Amino acid sequence: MTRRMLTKFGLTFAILATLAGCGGAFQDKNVYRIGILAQPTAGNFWGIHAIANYWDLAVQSPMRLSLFGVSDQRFQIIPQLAADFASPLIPEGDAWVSTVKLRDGVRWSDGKPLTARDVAFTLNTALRFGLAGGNWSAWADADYLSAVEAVDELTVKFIYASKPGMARHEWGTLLASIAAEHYWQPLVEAAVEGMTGLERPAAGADDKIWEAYQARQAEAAEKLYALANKNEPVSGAFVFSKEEPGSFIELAANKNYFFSGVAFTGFENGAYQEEKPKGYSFAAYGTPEGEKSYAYKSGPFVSKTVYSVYSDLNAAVLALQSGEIDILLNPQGLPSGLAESVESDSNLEVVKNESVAFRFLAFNTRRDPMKDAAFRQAVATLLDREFLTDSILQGAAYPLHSFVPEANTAWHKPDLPRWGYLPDGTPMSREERVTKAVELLVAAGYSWSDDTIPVWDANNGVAAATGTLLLPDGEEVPALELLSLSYGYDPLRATFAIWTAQWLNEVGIPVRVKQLGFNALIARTIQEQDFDMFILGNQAGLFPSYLSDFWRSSEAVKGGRNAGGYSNRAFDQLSDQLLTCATYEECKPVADQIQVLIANAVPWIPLFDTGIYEVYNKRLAFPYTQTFGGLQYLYGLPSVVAIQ
Amino acid sequence: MPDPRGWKSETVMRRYVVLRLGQIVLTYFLFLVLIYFLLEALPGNFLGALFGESRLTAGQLDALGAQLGLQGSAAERFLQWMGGFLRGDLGISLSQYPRPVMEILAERAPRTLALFLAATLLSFSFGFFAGKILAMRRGTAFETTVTVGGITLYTVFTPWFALWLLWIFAYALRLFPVGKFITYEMWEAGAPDANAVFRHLLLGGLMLAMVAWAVFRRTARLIPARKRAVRTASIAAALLVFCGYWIVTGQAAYVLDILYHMALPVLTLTLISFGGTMLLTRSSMLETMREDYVLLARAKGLPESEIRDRHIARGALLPVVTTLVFSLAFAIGGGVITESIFSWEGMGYTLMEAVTLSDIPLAVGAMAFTGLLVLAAHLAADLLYAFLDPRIRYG
Repeated sequence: MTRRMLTKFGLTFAILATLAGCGGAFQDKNVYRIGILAQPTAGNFWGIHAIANYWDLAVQSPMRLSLFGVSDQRFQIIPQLAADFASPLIPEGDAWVSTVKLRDGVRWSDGKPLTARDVAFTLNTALRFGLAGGNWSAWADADYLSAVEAVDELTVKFIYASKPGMARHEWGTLLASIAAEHYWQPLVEAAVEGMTGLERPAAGADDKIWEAYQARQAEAAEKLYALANKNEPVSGAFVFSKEEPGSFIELAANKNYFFSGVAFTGFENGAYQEEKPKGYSFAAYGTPEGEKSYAYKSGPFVSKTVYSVYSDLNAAVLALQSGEIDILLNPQGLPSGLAESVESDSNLEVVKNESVAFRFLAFNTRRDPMKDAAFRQAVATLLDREFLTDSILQGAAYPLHSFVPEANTAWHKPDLPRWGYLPDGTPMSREERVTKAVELLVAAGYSWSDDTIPVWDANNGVAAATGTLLLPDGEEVPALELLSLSYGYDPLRATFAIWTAQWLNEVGIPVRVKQLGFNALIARTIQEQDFDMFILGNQAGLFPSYLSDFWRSSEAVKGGRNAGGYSNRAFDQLSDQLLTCATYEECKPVADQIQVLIANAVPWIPLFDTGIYEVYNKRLAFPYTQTFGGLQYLYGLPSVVAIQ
Repeated sequence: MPDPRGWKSETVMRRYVVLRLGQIVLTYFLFLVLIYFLLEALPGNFLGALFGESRLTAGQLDALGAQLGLQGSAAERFLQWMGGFLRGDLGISLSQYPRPVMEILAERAPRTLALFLAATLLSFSFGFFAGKILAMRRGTAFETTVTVGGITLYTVFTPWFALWLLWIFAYALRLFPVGKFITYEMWEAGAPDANAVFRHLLLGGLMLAMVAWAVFRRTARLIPARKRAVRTASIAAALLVFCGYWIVTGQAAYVLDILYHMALPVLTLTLISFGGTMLLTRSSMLETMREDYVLLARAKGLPESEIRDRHIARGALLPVVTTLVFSLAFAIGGGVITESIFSWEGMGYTLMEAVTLSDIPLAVGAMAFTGLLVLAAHLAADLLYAFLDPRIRYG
């Protein structure tokens, strides 16, 4: 019996080994193989931009073009489908208008020309169906954008109800991906055939009329999102080829891609240039001369890009090491430990970039003592970020001092006021921090319950407070709670929370840490807004309008971005200016003022970032690998990557 | 024993089945209420989970919430969901908007069923076989070694073990792929839909099982030598037809590719779960071995292998089969860890993703599906009891 069983097992193993031999025989050398960590949602053009997640955008972005895009590395606005920059906004009756001229000769993947009608159709459809959420909120904000008109085949006119500013116009509507009218219009019309009530009510209409209108729009949007999009013509470097849900998505090179062979050059002096052989030449942001920071020609140089789904990060890294995939997309990059573990692999290259994410500590400024800027400044002073990142976390993170990352050179303001630093910029010692924090609190009227003040205990290396902090009115500071993610979810943030609480307790501020899961933390902070302090993370955008969302008064509502309820008229005014300023020269000083105001008022304390580690197979040749947000932020650059 | 009410045994059984079906409907409704409100009670909601990845403002989130139907109380949403459920509509997934939940489950269930049915049947066969041997060789070094090995594997930390196997077989030896269920190069344009192949595979497996069942029933009274010959020939013929179908329809290579991808996860699942069946079989066999009829068989001079397989193992089968039936039902639920590590996007992985993202319609839909099968399995186990043990009668 045993021998018979062994024979059976041997036979099974032999069959499997034979099958194993077949596995590697199929690999096509000119295919760019990208690993992704979740199955895209399979929504259509309209749906994925409403409920966009990273994986959807990663797969969609190589297939789409917009009127404008951003330049490599510097992230300046540059024309894409547009032939040049948009005309300045000018008043026309009650409205504000701007026109954009399209490039001649751009074709959809099915060979039909891409015209102004496609642009108008895309944005007017979004407005008609009230598409909300995701990218549509920025691309087709109905509070500003009224309509888009095709003036002629290559001229588009944008009509705004009120002056939009750079945030809504250049960094909003003009960045919209464009859909093919000839493909979508019949489908869209068939989907809403017979539906009434989709006409926008007059401005002063009754609330009930508006509610009914919005309900109809939601109903219509649902039909729109459900439309099939197989064989949809696209304008990007790749076209959809095949999908096996849960396994892979395959894109094939678009033979009609307009930018194939176009040379892109960035210069050290900030200038940008692109040239299409026997086509056009375009330059902006200075004279294209001197040293180049990057220069490359656009592909696609691969016949296909295949996105393979791996549900586990460790398994995906094994797939990288075994050569099943060339690169792994993950918005968080690789944990440093995992990146270090593959560094010795001769087939793999590890790169590190500054990430777009940041972690912060937020105060509930509706409550005592967090409502007091002096208290917040004292907390910021006590928080020794360098000690945590360098000594405790051993370089796994680095301290942040601004909510606009340094790598976002166009908008970052250097030399912001910092708490816990000496005038020459060096971090204070623990003793200096305690002394300074106590000084700030005393100056603001705080005292301690036993009429003493915390002093530095040099022997034990800690601050020793015998009493509890009293508010300026003499009341004891209530027991505070610092909410943080658990060690299991994010050990870095949990470590920051534990040490912060310890440093605050040392000076008589009663704080205890409560660790929660992500959903529970979001529920307590953003949705219920029942907290004293919390540590979370967020992402910085390229245009700093996100600063406005974080702290403007109108967002201090349940579910709003300003969970801490920070309210400052000066900030709100600057925030309004940032959303309405029309040029970089006009917007930059406003962004600078906002950064200074926040650095002084500290409604949030920027804590740290980890940077982003990425690993790719050395057979890939990228035009550059050092870029803000890493290659992940550019979705792996499939349209320009070459295979060596 | 005749029924005291004078009813025929078929009538008694029919009555029992109807009664159990009534109980199942009630239990199922309570189960649905419980899971819906438990999931609703979890902290956070879908918009909160979405918020973590985007820069939506409060107004934009409100508008999105309205589009996704997330307004109203939990009770209102449950009633709405229940109404849809009764019409056969499990709603729309939030995390994969606007895909219907039913479509997602139909996409993922065949993959999970194929993987976990194969693994369950293999681990039970292996466990039952090992348990039989252990019971007969109790007190030997072999028993100690296999028992310790089985228990070690049964209690091993599954993610670590799965990754370890993946590292050895997929990375170091390059024998198997690093997860997933197909090799994309094989499934490019022109290839059949992977899910269709999975469905055919399951259907083929079911037909093979039915053929095997029929052959075993038909040949039960033949003399042993003839019985073995007829059974082997019949099963071989069925397998030949089965394989022939794949070859003729041009799907053989795709089926082999799926089997190739299944090998490592099935091996992992078998290794970590056969120990349970093995120990259950062993203890059940040891109990049965004390029965008088086993003593009688030995006294009659029957060969030891026949006593073991026909007398002891048959009697010890009852608890093992019951466990197997439940395991088969739970196979639809898949396994979060195995499916994640082997990138086998099935029901377990779907459920985990749905719960993590607070996608209530998808999570409830997945659990409702699993719950239904488990309750059906309960009924099947009860009926199997009566079939396997003629002493058991319901009424």
